[in-house]
Amino acid sequence: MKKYKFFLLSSLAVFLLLLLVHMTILVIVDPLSITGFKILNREFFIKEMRFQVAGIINNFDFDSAIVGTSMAENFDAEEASKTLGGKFVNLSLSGSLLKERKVVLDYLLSEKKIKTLIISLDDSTDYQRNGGIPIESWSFLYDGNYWNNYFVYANRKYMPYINCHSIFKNRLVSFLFGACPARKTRDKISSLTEWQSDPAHNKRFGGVDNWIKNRDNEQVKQSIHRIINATITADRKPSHKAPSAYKLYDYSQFKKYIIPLVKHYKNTRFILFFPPYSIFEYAILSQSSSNNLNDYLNFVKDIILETEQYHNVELYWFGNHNFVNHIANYKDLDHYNGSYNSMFLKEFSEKKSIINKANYFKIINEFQQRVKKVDLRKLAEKFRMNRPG
Amino acid sequence: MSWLVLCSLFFYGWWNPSYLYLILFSMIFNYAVGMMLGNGGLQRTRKYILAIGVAINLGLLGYYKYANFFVKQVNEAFGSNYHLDTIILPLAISFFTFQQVAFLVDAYHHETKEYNFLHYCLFVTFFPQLIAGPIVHHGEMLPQFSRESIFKFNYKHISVGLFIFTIGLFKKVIFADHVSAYATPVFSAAEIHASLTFFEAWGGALAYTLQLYFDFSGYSDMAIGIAYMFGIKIPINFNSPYKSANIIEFWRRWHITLSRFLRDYLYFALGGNRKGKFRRYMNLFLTMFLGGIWHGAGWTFILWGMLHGIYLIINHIWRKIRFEILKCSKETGLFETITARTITLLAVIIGWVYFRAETVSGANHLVVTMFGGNGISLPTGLRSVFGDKLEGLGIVFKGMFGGSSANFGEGMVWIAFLSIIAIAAPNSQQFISPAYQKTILRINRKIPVFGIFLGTALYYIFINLGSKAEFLYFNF
Repeated sequence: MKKYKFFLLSSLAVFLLLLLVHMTILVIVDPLSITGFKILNREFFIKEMRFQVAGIINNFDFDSAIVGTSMAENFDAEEASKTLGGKFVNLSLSGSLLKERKVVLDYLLSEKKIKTLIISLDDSTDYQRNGGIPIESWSFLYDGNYWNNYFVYANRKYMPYINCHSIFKNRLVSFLFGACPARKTRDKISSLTEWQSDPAHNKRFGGVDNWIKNRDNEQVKQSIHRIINATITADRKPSHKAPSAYKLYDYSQFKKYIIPLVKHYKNTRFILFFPPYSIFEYAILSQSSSNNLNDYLNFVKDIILETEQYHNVELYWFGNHNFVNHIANYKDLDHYNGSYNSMFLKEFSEKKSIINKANYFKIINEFQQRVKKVDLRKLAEKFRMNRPG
Repeated sequence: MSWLVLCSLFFYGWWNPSYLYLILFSMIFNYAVGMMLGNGGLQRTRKYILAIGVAINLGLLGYYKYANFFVKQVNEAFGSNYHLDTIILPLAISFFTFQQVAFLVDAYHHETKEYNFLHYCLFVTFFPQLIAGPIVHHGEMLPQFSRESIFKFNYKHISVGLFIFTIGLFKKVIFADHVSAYATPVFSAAEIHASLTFFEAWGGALAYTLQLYFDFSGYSDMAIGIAYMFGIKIPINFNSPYKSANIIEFWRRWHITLSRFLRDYLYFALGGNRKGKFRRYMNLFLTMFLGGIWHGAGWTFILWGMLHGIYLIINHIWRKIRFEILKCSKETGLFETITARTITLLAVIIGWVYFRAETVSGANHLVVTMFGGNGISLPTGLRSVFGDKLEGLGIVFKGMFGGSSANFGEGMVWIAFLSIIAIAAPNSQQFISPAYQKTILRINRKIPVFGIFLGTALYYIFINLGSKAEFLYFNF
């Protein structure tokens, strides 16, 4: 029995010792700035915003924020500050659901006095697309309890960031913990979410030819498949509406996660905008066998009717701008060129492109007419000739 | 013990409290029926009671697991429009249903004893094996619950249990989760019939073959390890299945407790090999067909089961030819062993493609690619070596990988490394055998080599726990 005891205790001792060393080094470097010790100077930020935003809220001074998805990641916080007033930061979470953003928004609004909040209203669903980042793995950073924040470092993925700090930037650390993942870090907060300038994204703008050139890119691949499949679906006889596993445009999600914040933080200006997808995306939705465009437009309508009663909410619709008609402005079916954000900021400041109960029918009628005119077949034919693998 | 039952129920209810009613009903109902059957009475009445008991168990399983699938098939076949809301599969229903059906059948055959209800509850709900097996038999579990030595702190139980638990967790978190990154993109690409290269198709299929083994056997090891810490021994579920030299052997080494159940309560019930050769083969086929359905409501599972049914029939016929007609010796040489193992593994891999794919068409696409149906592309550098010779055979030199988004350069290293472990290394059961234990403790006496090994493994697992994880067998 003594041998078993020695075996057990030696195992546990080794485990605890290694864990202690691991945690100590990460707490010293504190890549996410979440411990509160501030032993070393902050030299970089991590682009994984679900984890990084807590440290930004805890340590930085600002009074306005952009909390969207990848559709809002290219908003320049400094430009927003100049155009709309206040001091902005962009805290957008790529591919986030409303329930994920609610975690961040709750914490942000409880910790800071926020004047203006820009939120993108993408598809609204409870379906976790980004299953790789379970909400439980990061939401504890936003519960106001600093002590459990340390748990985030009990993870292998933060070890290479030790090598990103100038004090630990040497070969030995790189060998022991991994080389600094420089592509996943930024020196400044202002460029933390921006992806427009990244060649991997940027090269896909400019038109059909650039999509074809980059047809092995997953987003382009999906877009091309969807365009081709939509023309096949449109040729089929209409069938009964198939019950879908989840609702893509679920108004109840908006009501559950955004409305309580609007009600509670009456002095915050909520700028909510429907991200302008390419007209081809809307055409695909309208030509699907179950006409998902109707679902989307009902979702828009329900939000307008609900928010009408709150003076601190403004809703913006950019889907009728001409740029949505041109594929050259998109890197895939949905993500528009970030340069249009300057125009949006201006329109926020001038309160142009607002959609409300009074103008909804006019705007949406015009929009639907434009969607009807889209010829997906022509586009599909081009892609068929150059179909991705 | 009641504390452990409550903990197990809490563990089960954590996922979805509403399904607690289901498992509670199932336990009370089956215990009551089991007692009625065990207490004797008219044979005819007992037969009816057994039939009702089994029917209710299978009815519940059928409703939760197959109702949606059934409605979908009816709609597709007859163009009807019946609608049934998506039924969420209660966790572990397949496992606790099988365990209790076995209990009822044995009670009918007077092979059970007067079991204490609390013990029975623990037998059904014992948390280490509740959600993904091993499928335990009342005869091997319930007698242990009466032993005084269980549930008491014991260094040997904790050490050995922790050791095997760590091996299991390591297999799951480090091996299975890492290699899954090379399987998922390939299977996703196959679903949309995207062009995959020959090597990508094989890479994806091999990666899944290894993922499934390390995931499921890792889970079984964890269950065995935790149970051992309580002083309870639960049966082994895997015995290096990819070392099998034929399919019959494979099923003696893979998911052993399921094979045992299918053999004892399905194959034998159908008549086994007692009613002639043809019936024997039919029974084998039916057993595997139903085994396929047990794994999930979908044509891919059905095809996988049927495929294994056919494999087993071929294996039995081959044995007959080999040993009875050709009078071959049972001794096999190295070449023969390697050939037999390779053929068996290939057959198993093809089966796993159907098991993993979401649709039959996706699986077919992958299998066709694996057999060169979509061409074979070799590294561009080899063109100078082989040149026109191979191009005439339809082989091109455009690189081994391309269509899927998986990084196969790194993936191949993982696949090769894990294949060696699966095919050549001792398995976790061997590690806890008395002989190994003795060796481990002897080596560990002065310098805690194995203590360092276990502690480091625990640390490495701990810092990897944050990565994405899916337990494959939770779906069954």
